[in-house]
Amino acid sequence: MIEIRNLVKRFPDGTLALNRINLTINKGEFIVIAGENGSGKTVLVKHLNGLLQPTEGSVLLNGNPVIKNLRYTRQKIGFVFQNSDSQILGQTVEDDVAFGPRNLGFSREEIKKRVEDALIETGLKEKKDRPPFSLSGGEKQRLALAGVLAMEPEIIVFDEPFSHLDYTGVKQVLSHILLLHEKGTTIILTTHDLEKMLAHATRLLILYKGEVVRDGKPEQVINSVSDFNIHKPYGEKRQVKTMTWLMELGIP
Amino acid sequence: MILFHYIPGNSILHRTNPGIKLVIILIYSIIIFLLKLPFLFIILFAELLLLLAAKIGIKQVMKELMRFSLFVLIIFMVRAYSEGGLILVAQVIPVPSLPGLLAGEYIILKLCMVIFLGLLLTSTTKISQLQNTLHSFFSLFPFIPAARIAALMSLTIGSFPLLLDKLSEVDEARKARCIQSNRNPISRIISISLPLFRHVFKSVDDIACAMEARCYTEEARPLSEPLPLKDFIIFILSILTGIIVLVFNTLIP
Repeated sequence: MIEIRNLVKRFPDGTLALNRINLTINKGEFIVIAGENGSGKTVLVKHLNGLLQPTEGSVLLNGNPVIKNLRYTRQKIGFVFQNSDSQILGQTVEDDVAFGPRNLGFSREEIKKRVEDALIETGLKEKKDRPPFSLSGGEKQRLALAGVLAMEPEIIVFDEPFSHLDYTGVKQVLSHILLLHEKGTTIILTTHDLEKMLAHATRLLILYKGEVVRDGKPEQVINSVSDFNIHKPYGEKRQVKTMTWLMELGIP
Repeated sequence: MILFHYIPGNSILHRTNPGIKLVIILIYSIIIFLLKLPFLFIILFAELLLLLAAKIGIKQVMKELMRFSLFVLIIFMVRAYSEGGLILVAQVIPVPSLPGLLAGEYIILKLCMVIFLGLLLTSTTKISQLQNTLHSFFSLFPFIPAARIAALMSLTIGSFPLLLDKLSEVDEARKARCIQSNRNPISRIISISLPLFRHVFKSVDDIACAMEARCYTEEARPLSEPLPLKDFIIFILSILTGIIVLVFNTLIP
């Protein structure tokens, strides 16, 4: 469980990015954090695994401050960045996925097993010897996910996972996210584009100018999203359950 | 862009232990500077064969190396003008001597051959393999932070392709906005260097963030490569060949 208490983030130039955020994220949730550009979504999620440190307040993971034990936190909370290119750290797909497990000091056999499992789960096993930069956008995002899965986290943060993807890429990545959620992984996803996956979320949180202005079930929050410069998806009769790009697959 | 990128494959170089490759390439980089022309061509021929075997496109490599033509020209000029001997044209304008021109060509050939050697290493060796090798090597010496040095060296080597990729992107953006019409060399240099460094610093920042998120530590478990007998034989044969070439090299005037 993640607890955020009175989180304030002020950058050295004086910009107030986050203002008194109080939030609890429970195990098994699929939480969507929505907001316009510059609303503080990425800044907020980067605090969850200690990539940014609060100016005031604290972030707790299972009751412990995340900055006290970054290694534990980062193993438990995987982070998939917005730009998949910038998180490629290996020169082959296999090498990239092994990066995290190697840092965690697992045995050679354990690393091999975790890498193989993650590649199978993301459907990249056949491409394990390919240079990551030769993959398509959707494949790169799946590779980023594989790199995180190999660390076996309980919570995965996706920062704008669909922003560089085409239709096929969005469907591939979204399917993987849903499978992970079904298996019990807590999903935290930031976006300003709700139509692609809101139907699957259990909770919708709106961030506006660094403050949480709405927090609740998607059905309760959806009608006020346009007040905060977020496009309200059309869907069928504007029902939340139709706000997904996986409709033709019979999901949900 | 393929320069200094790892190119997956199954050639003899891909399969050879990275430590052995590194040592052989270091030794041959020194040998090249001791050789006379006929032997240089023999080594060059061997390098080209290995490049072909590793499926590294020589034509593409040459094209990408043309980006450094100004740098090569400066080395050529410095070498050509620093050599005495017969002056080619009357001293109306300063021109290099014939030996100067030959010396300039000679140094450029050797430089290209050393670059090819570097390419043979970087194109067939993953950065992680190189890091493990360097880690094992520096661990032999006491009081040296082997893990840190290996990590720094591998990150430095790994940043070359990043730099070249960004250079390529910025260059395309400049061309798209008619940089060729700008005749001011200083303005041209500024127009490439400033955005290039801004991009690189941003990328470095992103990579550092991604590494942190995946628990980066200098002490990451090194996946040391086994050293089969085959690699040991390759090492001995390479060294013997180098010695034989050096001996014959001394025999020709």
